[in-house]
Amino acid sequence: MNLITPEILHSLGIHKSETEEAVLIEHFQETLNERVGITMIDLLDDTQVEQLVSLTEKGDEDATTKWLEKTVPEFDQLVRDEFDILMGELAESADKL
Amino acid sequence: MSERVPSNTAVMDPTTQVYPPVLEGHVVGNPKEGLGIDDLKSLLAASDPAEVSFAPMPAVEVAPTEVSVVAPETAPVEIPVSISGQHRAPEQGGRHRTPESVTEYAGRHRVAETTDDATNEFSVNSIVSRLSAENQPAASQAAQERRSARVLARMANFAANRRTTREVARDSYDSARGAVRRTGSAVVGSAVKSGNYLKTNLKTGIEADKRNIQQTRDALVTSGRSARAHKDVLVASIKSRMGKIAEGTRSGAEKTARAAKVGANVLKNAGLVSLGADAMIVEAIGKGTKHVAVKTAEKTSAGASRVSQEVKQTVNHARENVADLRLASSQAAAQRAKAKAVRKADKFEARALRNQWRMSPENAAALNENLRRIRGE
Repeated sequence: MNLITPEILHSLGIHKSETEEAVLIEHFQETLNERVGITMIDLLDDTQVEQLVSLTEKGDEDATTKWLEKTVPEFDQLVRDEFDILMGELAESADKL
Repeated sequence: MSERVPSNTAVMDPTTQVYPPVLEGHVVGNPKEGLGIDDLKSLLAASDPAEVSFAPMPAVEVAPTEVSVVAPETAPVEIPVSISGQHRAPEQGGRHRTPESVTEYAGRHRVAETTDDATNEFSVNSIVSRLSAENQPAASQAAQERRSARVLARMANFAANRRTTREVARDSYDSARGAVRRTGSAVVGSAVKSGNYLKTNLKTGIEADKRNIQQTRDALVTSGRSARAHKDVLVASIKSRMGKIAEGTRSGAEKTARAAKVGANVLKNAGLVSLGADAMIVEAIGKGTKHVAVKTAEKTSAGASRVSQEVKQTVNHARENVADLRLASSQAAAQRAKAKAVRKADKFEARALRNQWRMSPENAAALNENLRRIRGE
């Protein structure tokens, strides 16, 4: 799931070919996932990481969400912060892309 | 050893009741002792070459072991070997690593467990299962599996030996990075599912503002910086709650907690039941101030009263002491007066005694009487 769209890139003055925009959007999403993963894993102990990874591998989204709400209730705020941080970096470096 | 019937030319030895050894294909000698090298040599030396016949071995039907290696339907097949064997980059934490699971380990080197037929990738399990044909006997299948595992291990070693340390380190890093990304993706998915911010806020916000590109960029940069500060605080808060906190920070937090507790107790003692609003806090501070003033006044009054009582007692004691002193003084003065009178009487008596010869007996008697009276005799 990609949270940003080509329209958002355009609103930031980023205009690329369709393929390049797709790659950029994919890179944005992977970076976001990686940062969120690092932040979340850093907060958890080994047992909790094992539980989260196990739930993730099973692909049970409901169980994962419930586990996160119980273990790290602020997880959605963390994701939102990471998203805003990354968007800020994207906006800051828009001219260099 | 089989007891094959000897050929027609053999004659049984009546003493041993056995046939002499006959060279015929698979030579069968004494069925109890077998045929030794020496027997063969002597037999060959003594035998007529014409009598030695080499009958062909009977055909032995051996069931062929059907080892069929079934390649995946789609080619080419690449074996993604995630080797992190003996040699690892220093930043990876040493020369050896513990296998993450049994299935990931084959011999000295690890083989990535990425089995998935849909992705046309090999793994130990998938290859073993392919090599194990359904029609094979169980024993043969087990042997085949062991053989396949050995082959795979050898191939993994072979692949690993051709890889540089840098490549191995990169593979390990990429593997770990992929796991982190998958975990993060699940967390992001849950966050999106639990709220609409990530899905709609940014897009609708930009569209609603209708700002120019530079304004949009500036707004996002500012938002990002704010989010970074918020995240730092949030992470610290979560770590503190989870007990994952540095010692120095813990000490500071404990101090803060103690201060907060003291403050809360002050407010509680001031009559504040619940906190939450600034007005209430201000009111609580006011109440607390008044409370303290009242308590101070009460303490002052009580102190004054206590001092007053003490002063009164002290004054009374002083008065009593003064009276005692006065009494004592009076007694002392009386004693002093008495002593003085006695001394005067003594002096008068001494002078009288000196002048006694000039007194008449009547005057002397009167003087003695006066002296006795003065002395209290």
